[in-house]
Amino acid sequence: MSQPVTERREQTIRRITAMKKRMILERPTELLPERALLVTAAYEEHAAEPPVMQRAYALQKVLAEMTLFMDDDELFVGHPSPRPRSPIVCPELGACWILDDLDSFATRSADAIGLTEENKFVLRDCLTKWRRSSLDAVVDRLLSEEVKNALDEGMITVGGRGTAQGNISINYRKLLAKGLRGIIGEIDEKLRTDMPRDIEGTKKRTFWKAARISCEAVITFAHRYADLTARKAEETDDARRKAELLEMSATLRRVPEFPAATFREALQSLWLVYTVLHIEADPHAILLGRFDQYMYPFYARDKAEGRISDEDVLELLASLWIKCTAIIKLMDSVTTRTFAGFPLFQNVTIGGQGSHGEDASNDLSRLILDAAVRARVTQPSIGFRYHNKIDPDMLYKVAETIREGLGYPAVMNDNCIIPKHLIRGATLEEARNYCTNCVETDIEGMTDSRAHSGYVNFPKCLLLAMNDGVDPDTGRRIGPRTGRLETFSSFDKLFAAYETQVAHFTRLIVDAYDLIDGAHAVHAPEPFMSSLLDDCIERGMTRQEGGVRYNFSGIFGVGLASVADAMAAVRKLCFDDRSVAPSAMMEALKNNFQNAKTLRNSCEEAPKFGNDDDYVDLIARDAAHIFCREVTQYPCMRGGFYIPELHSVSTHVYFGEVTGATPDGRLKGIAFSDGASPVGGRDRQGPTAAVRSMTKIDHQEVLQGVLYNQKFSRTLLKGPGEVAAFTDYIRTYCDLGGHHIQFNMISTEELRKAQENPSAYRDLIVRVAGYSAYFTELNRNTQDEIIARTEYEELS
Amino acid sequence: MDHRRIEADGKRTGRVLRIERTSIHDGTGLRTVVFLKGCPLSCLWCSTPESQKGRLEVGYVADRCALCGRCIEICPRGALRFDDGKSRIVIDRERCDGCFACVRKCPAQALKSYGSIMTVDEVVREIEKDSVFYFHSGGGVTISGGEPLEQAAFVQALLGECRKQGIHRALETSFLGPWEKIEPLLPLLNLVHTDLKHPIPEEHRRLTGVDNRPILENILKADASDHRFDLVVRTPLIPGINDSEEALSKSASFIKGLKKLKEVEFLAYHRLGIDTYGHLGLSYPLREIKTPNLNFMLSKARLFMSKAPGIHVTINGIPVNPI
Ligand code: SF4
Ligand code: SF4
Repeated sequence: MSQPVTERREQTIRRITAMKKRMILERPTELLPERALLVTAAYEEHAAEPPVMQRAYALQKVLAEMTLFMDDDELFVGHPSPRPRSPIVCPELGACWILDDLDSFATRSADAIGLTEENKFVLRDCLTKWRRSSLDAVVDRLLSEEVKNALDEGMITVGGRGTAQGNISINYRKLLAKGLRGIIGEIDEKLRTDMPRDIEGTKKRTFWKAARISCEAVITFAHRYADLTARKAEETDDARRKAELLEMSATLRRVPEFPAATFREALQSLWLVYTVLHIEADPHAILLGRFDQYMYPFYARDKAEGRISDEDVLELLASLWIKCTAIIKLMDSVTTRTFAGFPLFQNVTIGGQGSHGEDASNDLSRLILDAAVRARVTQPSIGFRYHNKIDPDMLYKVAETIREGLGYPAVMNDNCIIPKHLIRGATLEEARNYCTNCVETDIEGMTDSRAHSGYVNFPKCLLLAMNDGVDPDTGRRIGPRTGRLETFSSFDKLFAAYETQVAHFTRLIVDAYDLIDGAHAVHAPEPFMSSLLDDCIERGMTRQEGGVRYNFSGIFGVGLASVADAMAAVRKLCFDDRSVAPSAMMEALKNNFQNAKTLRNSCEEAPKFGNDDDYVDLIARDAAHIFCREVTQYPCMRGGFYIPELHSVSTHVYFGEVTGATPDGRLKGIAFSDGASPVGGRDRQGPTAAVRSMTKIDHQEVLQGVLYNQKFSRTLLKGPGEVAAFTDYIRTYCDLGGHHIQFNMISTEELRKAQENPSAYRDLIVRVAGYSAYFTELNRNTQDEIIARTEYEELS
Repeated sequence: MDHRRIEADGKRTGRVLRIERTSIHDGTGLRTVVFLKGCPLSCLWCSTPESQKGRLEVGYVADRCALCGRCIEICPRGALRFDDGKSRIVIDRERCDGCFACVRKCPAQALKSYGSIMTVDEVVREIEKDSVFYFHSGGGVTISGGEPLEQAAFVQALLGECRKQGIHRALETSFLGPWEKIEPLLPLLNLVHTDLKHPIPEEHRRLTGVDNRPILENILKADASDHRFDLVVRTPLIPGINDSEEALSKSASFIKGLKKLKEVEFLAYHRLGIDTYGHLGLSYPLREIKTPNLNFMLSKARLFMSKAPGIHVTINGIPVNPI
């Protein structure tokens, strides 16, 4: 305990470096069939049971028999598969698409996953049995031809077709306070007292039994790890490691079964449960919630009683980051092309308000930032909750961490978000306890918001609106008949046609997702996760059936800035200036602007979103507004309603690929704007102008969130004065009502990459003496000059 | 054009090169910088040659030009022609009056406009767009050049308007100009940035084309005035040109006496303006001098600090620890 500080720190660094090397950097990816085989066997053994019981038995079997992974330096254990960076296979959810992709996993260009011929053979054999009964097979039978056409044409995407859906945080506070034994007690209480003698009652009892089996299975799983760590303790000669292992073993006998008493116990408890949530159904984005809040009492008590030092906490947290990054999820080849880098969208929330609206940031929030910088891995990202009473030092530290260039923390604005949860039906105290996804927010442990129910391709809706529902690029009719550009007497007529198209495709998503939602409820319930969500036990329903207190389904609008730019160009050229005939515009779009260089130039010169120009900014605002109105009118299957989001993850790349030329001058196949951000590189009036454009959109009505991704050169944040100015900039974005903002820091390394590979960096903007320019368009000398300058300022 | 006398200050016009938003290097907080056209100095290292001339100018980016000739056709002054090999456009800058008809006509964005005529009201409207950002950061407007004193009446009206709106006001000036033009601006200012390019008169003349004695006199006079603004003195350090020990110690002894002084900032020489010289058909004077590295800058700053102890010094805005 009383080791000198530097020696202690070196120990942390050694441990973190070794773990990171073994579990991430030098660990090849590998697809292993173990879970698929165990689940298949369990389903066969319990063929006569209802699905929720089959799922519980499957989990029970996997937890009892799977190979346990443990790294030699770990201080807490748990990993969902036999090895790090080895995704698990869920045949019950995605047998068909996994079979389709089986031959390409190892060879695909993005996120290839090693797969031996032998394992491939075993997997093919196993998956083939699921061909007609897996979730994706069921969904495929349910979807209408109209939906399938819209999917093929790249008008929409629909989520949850062959995978579990995440973006959810369990009730960690309850887990740590009660332990699984406490949860089982609650279930037993319900089984004893709540006995309605009808079909509903039968369904409830089945769920409670399944939940009980799952919780017991997790306790057994912890005990297996307790045995493993005890065995390893016997085997080692290193006295220090032996002590660590014995302590870990003792911890695993207590948690997650019983309430956690210390910081280490709490961390082990939540991590083992977190691991099991992946094993149960492997959704993306299982959130870690407000970690700095529910863990703080443990931290504070241990610290006051001398059980833990800040260095110990840093070591544990950095390990947590590495363990999160070591989990990867199997994704199909289309998805990985746009989501390269194995993102799992795990997220930790820090800062924000307490239940009385007071500043809740604390020492643990700061340690989380330090740990993330030390670990330097991609997951989990951090959402920092800003509000008016935030400690200025905390905000400063956040700005400094942003400068590190990890891409996080993202800033989430309480001033905008808390009212959204009130609109969504929460009490004030609940609303103040929201936690973050990457952009979406949910009330910890009591929201199932199905963030990715579907995506709408906005710019393609505009192309249909200009062409009577026919895709100008392919000549195929895919949308309702709304007239042709040549016949519209005013811009308002065009906008009305666009509204009709957006309304149509939004409704298609709702139609499709309601069916998928139902399929999940019947075929893919998650009894274990449900037992840790309010109020599933109370209501006797899984989260898939609507057991959670607050339910929503989220629909994303993609390419807002692109569509606003496109509409502004049509408005200016065809209606206001009348310099381009509508037929000439349609002809040019059809031909991808071939032989129409001048017209394309005029399109590019038209006003662009992101420059504080009302001409186009208000079009963006209106386009956002009608989308929100369309989405929020629909109730969703589990209760609650559909909510809109302006964010694209990377669907703007995919939608761009399948959409022809657009009137903003964009050529066929080029990506659309990201989130609600301006089209890359078209915001040329500096960041404040971009912020003003962004906040003309009414973020308040976009109930699921608005993403703003801003690129900053590191040179802008060189000294303490600049970092302070940066915090003021963040404050102002929040004053103006922004929902979320995150920053990419451009380093010299990236500038060099841009020199070598200009086509991948066409958007990159730099400041040259007094003006902004596309980096890749500058001549080599000027580029070198800018690199020299950036480098020089990075040193300081 | 701006010499027309119009009663209402808001209608007064000036020649504005450009307005840059979100600057964090030109005064406190997040700032909007208004660059004006026209400068009586011609520093060899000038990084914004497009600000030097008072009149509006056309820039020409040869590698974008499609050689279509539309600009030649539209020019009302006959100021444009092809060169002999028809390989580029040649601009007769004596004839051109900056109407920018050619810039609007060019389909290839090969011509650009440097400057525009704006009223005080129009400029203030631009500045106010970012006023929300001034609130937390203590930012505001910075009037820069060229040399703002070249359009003193316009600047005075502009500063007056900004004061009415409660916007923090900074001026970047060489202080070269008649005192009668400087004096009325001083009560309107919160912050003044000025340059000390070289302390020795002959050298100053060689490097900038003008004598520095009237400049130094004006700085001392402004410093002695009762007006309450902060003063920041800047020196762009050009290796081998103005970084000698003699130059630095002479600067130090002048600066030491300034009572409004807040800090001295050394700026690393850079060549980012080099392309603009080409667009204006000018040649770049200091081709062979390279951007100095951080160690060079630190050693010069420390040398200066040893001669002027107690003065707060920064390099490109980053504070240098006292020795
Ligand atoms: S109009 Fe533009 S492209 Fe045509 S010749 Fe003139 S500068 Fe060149
Ligand atoms: S700015 Fe006007 S006068 Fe000058 S070259 Fe262009 S068209 Fe001719």
